Order: sequence, then structure tokens, then C-alpha cells
Amino acid sequence: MTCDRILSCGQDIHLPCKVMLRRSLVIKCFIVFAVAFGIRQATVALLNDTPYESGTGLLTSFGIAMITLLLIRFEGSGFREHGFLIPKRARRLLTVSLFLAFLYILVVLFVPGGISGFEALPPASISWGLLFSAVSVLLAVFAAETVFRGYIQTDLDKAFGSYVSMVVVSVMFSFYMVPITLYFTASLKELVYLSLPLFAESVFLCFFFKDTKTLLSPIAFAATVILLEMLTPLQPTSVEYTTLISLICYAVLVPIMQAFMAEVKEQNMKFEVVEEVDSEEPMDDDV
Amino acid sequence: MSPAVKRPNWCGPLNTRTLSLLILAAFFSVFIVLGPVVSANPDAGGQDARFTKVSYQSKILTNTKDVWTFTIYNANCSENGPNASRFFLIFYVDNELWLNEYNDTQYMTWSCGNGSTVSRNYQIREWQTVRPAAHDLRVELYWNRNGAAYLEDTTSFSIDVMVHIPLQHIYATGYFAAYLIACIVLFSYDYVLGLEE
Repeated sequence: MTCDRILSCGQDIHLPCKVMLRRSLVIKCFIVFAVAFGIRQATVALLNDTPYESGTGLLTSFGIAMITLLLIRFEGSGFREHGFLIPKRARRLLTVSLFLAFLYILVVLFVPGGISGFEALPPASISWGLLFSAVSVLLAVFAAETVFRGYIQTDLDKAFGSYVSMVVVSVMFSFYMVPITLYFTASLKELVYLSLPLFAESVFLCFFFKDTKTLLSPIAFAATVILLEMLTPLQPTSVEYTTLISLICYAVLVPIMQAFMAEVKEQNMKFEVVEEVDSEEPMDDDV
Repeated sequence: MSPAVKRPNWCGPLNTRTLSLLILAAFFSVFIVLGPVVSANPDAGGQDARFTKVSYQSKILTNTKDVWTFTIYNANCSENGPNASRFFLIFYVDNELWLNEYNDTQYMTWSCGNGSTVSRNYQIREWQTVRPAAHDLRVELYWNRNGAAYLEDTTSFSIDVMVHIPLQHIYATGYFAAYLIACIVLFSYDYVLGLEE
């Protein structure tokens, strides 16, 4: 039995072996993060912060996703383990993800907008550019979720447990998402204001991934939120409370999502019990 | 006994063939999409003088001032005589002539020496609009050579003019209602799916 297998089984193992495995997992995760961070930030700096509107942005997301997928492939660990599976209740998971995304946009956009008013932009016209942006968003979200939830969270979870991995992944995610140009131009306060909602979003997505065991749900949620933000030609006039409202919203979305998932799990259990009863019926007849 | 049908295992892990196909498909789609993006940058004129930088606000609130700054580099527009290296701009908004700097300012032009760079500021007093609007702007750089105009370069950009509205405005209420209905529909659909199971 290899050390990897022992660690994933959660058995008591020899301490030096455990420390060694933890260290190797941490190093691997940080290398993957450094590569993804470097590629994304180089692209953002070159493209002047418009990663969803250019071919290079699309290519970057594609590259990041492919590197991570190939890494998983060459490591020999299963794709299922990293969240690449379509569960039985995929339709329900998608519906819940979309519902939570719409709920988030309703709160984060219309609560501050209701207080301070909106700045209305012209509506987005249906064009090839819009389709390109939508594809770009989907690919960017897929790449980010593959790296952070699919790879890093899964590996750190083995080494340190759920909550530590969620915090570490969320800190990394915030660094990844904030454009590098802002590190040199924005003040510390502005950076904190920008990073906090990203951190909260990542924590929520980590909970979502942990509860559903599939990347489908965080990808659907994150992509829908970005697409709705892009397609809604409204923005609150005052953005003072947007950060706070976003944090509160994510804090509330976690228990709502868990309530939905608990119901789905309950349904699954009922379903399994019914199946077992059905399979026992012929036996009774035989008796 | 029904015949066994071999079904593709979509839920299973990715195998090498699927992964290779995925890579090929993604590369193919990227190059298809990149095609129009790369070619959508038409140049105009002789390029002896050109725009090197254009500064503008892509989103501007109605009834507020706006300033556009054009930086022009004169690479090779020179001529002997007093009228050498004189330039002017022509502005088009949504493909309609908006300002001809030469005709509208009593044939005034500005100079930019050969091999040098000039920055020109144009202040827009305000954008007046009742509803949000998107404008496509095209600016042409002309070299005025002894009374004859030669198109040297063209630059295009888009501006979104925003309007301040309250939540009660139909524009905001419409989106609010649409998202609320979407939430209700999704919640109901999830409930129905739960009942079906």
C-alpha cells in the first residue's frame, strides 16, 4: 500500500511519511497555483484587464485548464476524484446553481441600487462578440474551477482537512482573480475591498464543491453570475456597500445551498431505500 | 431478454482518446474564434502619420464633461515650405459626420514636425440623452498638404452613455422583475424535480 493510498484512506500512518506526503502535496499545489497565476496575470497585464474580450484571454484559460487536466492525467489520480463527473441528480444541481446565482445577482445588484439608484447602460446587443465573451467566460470559469476546486482543494483537503484547505484555496483564488496591475496602482484599502468578495465567493464555491463532489455546480454558479453581471446593463451608483452586501450574501447563500443539498441527499437516501425494498420483494414471494 | 446495448460512459473518467479530442476541439474552436478578431483591425491611408494613443472614457454619465486625447506621431509627412506637416481631424459618430476640424474652424490646422509627437485634447461639453446609448466613433487623421487633404490614419472606439435612474424606472424594474421571475421558476422547477424523484 503506497503512502498516498494510506493517506487517502485516513488511517493512522507513520508520522514522517505523513509529513512527507503533506509537504509534497503542498509543494505540488503551490506550483500549480504559481503557473496558473503567472499565465493569467501575464495575459491580464498584456491585454489591459479585458480577459473576456480577446482571443489571448480565451487561449490562456484553455492553456491553464489543459495543464491542470494533463497533470491530473499524468499523476494517475482519477478525474472523478477531482470532481469531473456528472452526478445522477445533475439537473437538480444545475437548477439549484442557477437559482442561487440569480438570487445573488438580485441581492447584490438591486439592494445597493435600490438605495442609491442605478447608472443604466445601453443593453448588450446580440452579436458574435457577445457569443465570444460568453464562451470566454465559460472557459475562464472552467479553468479557475479546475485549478482551485478540482485540483488544489482536493489535494489540500487530503493533507489538512476541509476548512484549512478552503481558507488557503480562497486566499489563492483572490490573488489569482485580482488583476496584477492593481497591485501596483491601487491602495491597500482598495485591494482589500476588491479581494474580500472574491474570498467570500471562493469559500462559497468550496462549500458547494465539498457538498456536491462535482465541479458542475461551482462552474454553473460562477459562470451564471459573471454572465448575468455582463448582460445586466445596470450598476449601482454608489458602490460603498457593495462589498459588505456581497459578503453577507455569500454568508447567507452557504446555509441555503446546504439546505438544498441536504434535501437532495435525503431524496437520494429515500431512493436507495425504495430500491432495496423493491429488490427484496421477489424474495418474499419466493418464501 | 432485451439485447445488451453498449452505451458510452459519459459519467466515467476522461480517457486518453476523449482528452485528445477535447484538446483538438478546443484548439479548433479557438482558431475559428481568433480569425475575425485578428483581422478586424483595418488600417487606412499611407501611415506616414498615425495615432499612437487614444484616451477616452468608455462609459460616461450623461450631462458630464468628457475629454478625448489623441497622440499623433508624424513618421514621414514633410514637405518644403511654410505649410509643411499640418494636420486636422474629422470625427464621425455612428457613421455620420460630426465634426470636420478643417471646415468647421475656418480652415485651421495644427502642426506636427517630422519625427515628432503631438497630443491633442478635445473636450465634449456633455452628452445629452434621455435613455442609455451606445455610440461608435471613428476619427480620421488628415495631412493637409498645400490645401489637399490626405488620409493618414483612422481610429475607432465605442462610448456608452449612461443615464442615472431610480429603481422605480421601468428599465431597472424590468430587469428586477425578470430576475425575480427566473428565481421563482427555478425554485419551482427544483421543487417539481424533487417531487418526481
